[in-house]
Amino acid sequence: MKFLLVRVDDRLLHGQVVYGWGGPLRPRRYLIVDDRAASDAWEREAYTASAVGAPVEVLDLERFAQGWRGTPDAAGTLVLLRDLAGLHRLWVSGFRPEGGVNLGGIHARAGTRPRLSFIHLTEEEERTLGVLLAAGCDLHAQELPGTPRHDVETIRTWVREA
Amino acid sequence: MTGSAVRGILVTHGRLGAELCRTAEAILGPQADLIALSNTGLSAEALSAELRALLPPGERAILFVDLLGGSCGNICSLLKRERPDALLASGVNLPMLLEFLVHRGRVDPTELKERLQSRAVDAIRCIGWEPETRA
Repeated sequence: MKFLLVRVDDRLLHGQVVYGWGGPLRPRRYLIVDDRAASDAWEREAYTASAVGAPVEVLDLERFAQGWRGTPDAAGTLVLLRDLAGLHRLWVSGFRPEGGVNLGGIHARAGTRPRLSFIHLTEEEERTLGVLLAAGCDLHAQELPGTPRHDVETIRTWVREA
Repeated sequence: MTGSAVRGILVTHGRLGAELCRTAEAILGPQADLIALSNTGLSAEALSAELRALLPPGERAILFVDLLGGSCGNICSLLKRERPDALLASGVNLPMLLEFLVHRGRVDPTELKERLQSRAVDAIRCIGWEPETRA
């Protein structure tokens, strides 16, 4: 199944997504797949109330993992994941999006090293990337439509042996 | 109660907030309790932690954000749960900020809120490009 875009971004729905990607891609729906947001009514409300241009839905990882093949209007749906751990959980459960996965924003935290201005990884995340790549997950890193796209070969150079 | 204790915290993309503060101070002179935070290079958690440290519980403050639905707006929306005394004001522009700085010590919080909203909106005009009229 081909989604409009599947993106890993620790800020989930924000300006770069709504205006940067949303402008050219014209999503008909934003789908946040995240346990924390799904379990927190306040956070869900913050995202859905501030939607611009298209409605926002929030699902937890388990529910999406079970039902992603039946996603209505997948071609018009922009899927947002918070982190690589979430992507890995979905991958293990069988999630195989055509068109690959966009790494769009994994920002600096304690214990991370910068790989790109918008990608900072812990050792654990580097190992997770290695597992995903070895399993055939098609990954690229790109912050915005008009900025350079870093393909899977670049990402391979970041990978730490598991 | 007047708004004399109201702190202003601008939470914006890039240097927008810092430049708005700098410009407002160029117009009004140095201002106390006016702070700019940027989301540049920070995760949501890191920016939330910085903001939380600037906003002790119980302190009345206004969180100015540039874009409701952007990361700064989302973070402030979520923080409001922990800091119910804070007001979230989105779409910050220079007229809104000047209105805040001029009136925060002079009017009560309810009036201050109304003034911010009306001033920010009223200041927006699109002038020109009128349909051509032919004699």
